Amino acid sequence: MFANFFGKYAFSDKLDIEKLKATVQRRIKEVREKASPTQAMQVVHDLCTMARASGHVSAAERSILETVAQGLDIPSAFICQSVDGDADLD
Amino acid sequence: MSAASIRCANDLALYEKLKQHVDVVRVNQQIARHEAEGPSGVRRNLLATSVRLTKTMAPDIAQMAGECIAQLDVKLPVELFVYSSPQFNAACFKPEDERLYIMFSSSLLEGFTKAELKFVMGHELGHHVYDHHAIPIGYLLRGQARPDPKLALELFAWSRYAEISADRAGAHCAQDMDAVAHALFKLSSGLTTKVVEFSLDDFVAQVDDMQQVDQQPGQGAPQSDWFSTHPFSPLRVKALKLFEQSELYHGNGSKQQLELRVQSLLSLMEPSYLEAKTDTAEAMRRLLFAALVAVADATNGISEQ
Repeated sequence: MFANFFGKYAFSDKLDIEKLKATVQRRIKEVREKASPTQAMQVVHDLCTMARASGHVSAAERSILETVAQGLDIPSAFICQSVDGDADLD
Repeated sequence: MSAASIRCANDLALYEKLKQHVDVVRVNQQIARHEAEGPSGVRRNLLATSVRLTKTMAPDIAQMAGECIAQLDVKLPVELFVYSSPQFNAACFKPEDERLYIMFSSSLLEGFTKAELKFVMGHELGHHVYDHHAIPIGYLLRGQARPDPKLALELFAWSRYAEISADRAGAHCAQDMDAVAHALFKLSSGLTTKVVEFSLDDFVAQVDDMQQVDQQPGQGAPQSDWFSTHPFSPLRVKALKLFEQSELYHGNGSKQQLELRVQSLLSLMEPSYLEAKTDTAEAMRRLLFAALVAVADATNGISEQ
C-alpha cells in the first residue's frame, strides 16, 4: 500500500517507523491549526481510501483512522462512511 | 442544447483518462468475457422482483420518460420498473440485450411531482448517455483485486464529476430549477414538501452559510456527505446553481467560466494538497504520510519489501 501510493523508492531503510509514528499527534495538531475542517476531512478520507484499497481494513488499522479523525474533530461516522461506503454511482 | 454539450468537462476528461487505465481495461475485458457467455440477468432479475411500467399501466410516467429520452437523444429502447420501497431511490442499469433499464422505488414515484421525476429520469439516463458504465467503479473498488490507491482516488474524483454531468442532464430534462431543488431536498431528507415551500436560492443560501461556518476552525459540523455518493450533496446543489447561470441553461455565463467555477467548487474534495506548495498543503501531506505509515504498520508491520 505504502509503496503503491508514494512510489517504490519512497520507503527507505533509513526511515524510522516508530519515530515517524510518534509524530502523528504533532502533525494532527498542525493540520488542526492550518487547515479548514473540510481539508482535514480530505486527509482522513484519503487515508480511508488508501487503507481500503489494500483490501480488508483491520480493527487495528481502523483504530488508527479513528484516532486521526478524533484528533481532527471528525466524527467516527465519517470513517464508517469512507471505509464502508458504497462506491457505485447512484 | 445536446446532452454532449452540457456534459461536465472534468467528467469527460477523467473518463477518457480512466478508460485507458490498465486496471480499468482489464476489468472491462473480464466483464465483456462474462457478458459474452450470456446475459448478466439484469432483466430477468428485474422482471422477477419489480413491476414493469408499461404505457398502459403508467401512461404519464411513460410519457415523461419519452420526453427525457427525446431530450437526451437516447437511442436504445428503455424499460421502466418500480419496486416496493419506502426509500426514495432510482437506478439505471448497464444495457443488456440492447435495452436500457431504469428502476424507481415506489415511494419516489408516489412522492415526486412530474417535473421532479423528470429530473430523476434525466439524471439516470444521463449516466447512460455519458457512458458512465464504461468505468465499472463498483467492480474496481470492491473487486477481489483492489486497484492501487492512486487509481482509487481518481475514481472517486471522477465519480463526483460524473454525478455533476448526470445532474445537468436531469436539470436539462426537467427545465425547472425549483423542481430540481425540490427533488434534491426530497432525496436528501426523505420528506415530501407538502408542508414546506422553498426556492433554490434559499436552499443554496443555506449551503453558503454552512460553508462559511465550516471555514471557521473548530466550528460547525463537518460536511461528511461531501464524500458520499448518495443523492444529496450541497456541492451538487451549488454546481447546479452555477449551471443555471450559464449559457448551457438559461444564463449568460460561458461554459469555460462554469467549468472553472465547478472545478473550484469540487476542488475542496480533491487531493490537490498532494502537490500544492502551501504551508497548509504541506501540513496535510505530512500528516497523511505519517498516518499512512501508522496504518500500514498497524496489523502486520511494514516489511522491507
